[in-house]
Amino acid sequence: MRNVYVQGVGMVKCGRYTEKIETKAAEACMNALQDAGMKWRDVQAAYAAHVMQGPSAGQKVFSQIGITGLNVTNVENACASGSTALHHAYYDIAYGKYDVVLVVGFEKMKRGVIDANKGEERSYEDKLGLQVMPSEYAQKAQRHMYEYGTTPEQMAKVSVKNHKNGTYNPYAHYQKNFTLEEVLQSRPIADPLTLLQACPTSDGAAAVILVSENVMKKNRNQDPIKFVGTAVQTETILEDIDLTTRTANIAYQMAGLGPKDISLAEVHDAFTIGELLHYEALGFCAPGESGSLIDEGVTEITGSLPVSPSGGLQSRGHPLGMTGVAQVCEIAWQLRGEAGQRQVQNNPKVGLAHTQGAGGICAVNIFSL
Amino acid sequence: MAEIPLFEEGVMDQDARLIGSKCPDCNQYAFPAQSYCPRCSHEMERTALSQEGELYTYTIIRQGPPWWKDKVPYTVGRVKLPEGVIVKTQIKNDELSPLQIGTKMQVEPHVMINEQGEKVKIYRFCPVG
Repeated sequence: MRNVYVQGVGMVKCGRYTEKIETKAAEACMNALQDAGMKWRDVQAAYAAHVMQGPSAGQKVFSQIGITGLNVTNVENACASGSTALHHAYYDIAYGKYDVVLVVGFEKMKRGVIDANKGEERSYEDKLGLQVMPSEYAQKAQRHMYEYGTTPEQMAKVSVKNHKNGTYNPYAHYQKNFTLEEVLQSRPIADPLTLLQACPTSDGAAAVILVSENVMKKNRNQDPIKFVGTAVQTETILEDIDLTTRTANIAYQMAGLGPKDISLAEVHDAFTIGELLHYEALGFCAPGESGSLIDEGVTEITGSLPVSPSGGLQSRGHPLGMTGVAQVCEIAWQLRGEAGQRQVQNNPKVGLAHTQGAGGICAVNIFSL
Repeated sequence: MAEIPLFEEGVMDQDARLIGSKCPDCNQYAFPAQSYCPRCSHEMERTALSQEGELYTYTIIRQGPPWWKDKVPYTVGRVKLPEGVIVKTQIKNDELSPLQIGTKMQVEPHVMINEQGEKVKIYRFCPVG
């Protein structure tokens, strides 16, 4: 297997677009190409990650920047679509199929609760009003409160932290601070979660260019960022182990690293409780201790293990197909020391990106200087 | 009088007995019923499931999807049956009270108005006693 590097990253600001999504996604691709010092014609294959943008949305994006006949694949894997596309792009290079692969993730979202059954007959769960995303996380929250005594305040602190981080990120949809009281007293959506503990519905696009070692060397990267671990997994009933833990273990093993080696992480904080659960599942703390971890400020930008310095899904936004790709943009900026006011303070060497998707999907990608 | 139609075929009978499936090879259960075993891929057989279980977790939904706007707030949760399967369900909780995880629950039939404005029969769980 060959080494794989991140040659360039690029984003556009998340928000609510009046422009067509393919225009914004094309802009993200151009930003990544500029960052990489490459031209579109250098790209040999491209993945377009999106969930609800329709057939061949990727081809529409790429035709905006050049009709060059390359291998294009559209990837849908719910909220883990972008991460899954990166996973496949990694192996395209690692196994020697291509030297330059671009991954773009993008989404234009409808407002309100996601209708996961678009285009098909409603499921029995949907007919019973059971298929509501905030409810899924709220039930995890209730269970965590029951098992470990985690409090609504500890969950709300995730929102406070990530919104604060978002105020320093020019690409974030929301750049506004909220107090703990404001988060707790915002409209309840599914007990114990309140509106300010749910990610907003945002439009957005992000792109990453992965290259082989010979291409990386030719382009004289000052701080080459190596893609060292990647895993995509789904739920199993064969083993009694958390999906995120199992996925992370595969990626850790591949990277030859463990939770203690991680300098910063971007995790799937679609709802605040999610971030706490992921601290535990990724091995950042023992089961049941995520509440203390947030209380102690360990995961703040100034802490020893910053989590979601970009503002995360809570504040940057969660355009479904974009998220896993935008996480890698943030990790690249942080590892290069280019993150400005939100630059983590622990001299970062290794960044971990984690997403999970409806239907029981998890993806973990790890990058190292 | 005509019986109220079930909200979905193949999930329950008229008395809200849940229909699952059991693997004759490895004894794995599934709900709703499916053709092949999620553990060993063997063909499964339909079976009625236990009518009592334990509350595993729950929430009170305060904001529903657009097609459920007029139904909030309502309580939903997961009930673990003795067969080991976890059933996603609406929960009877007219007072919208906090519930105790681990409470013994039993299934009951309930009538609901569906998206098309028709009366349909659903299953739901309520605390025993």
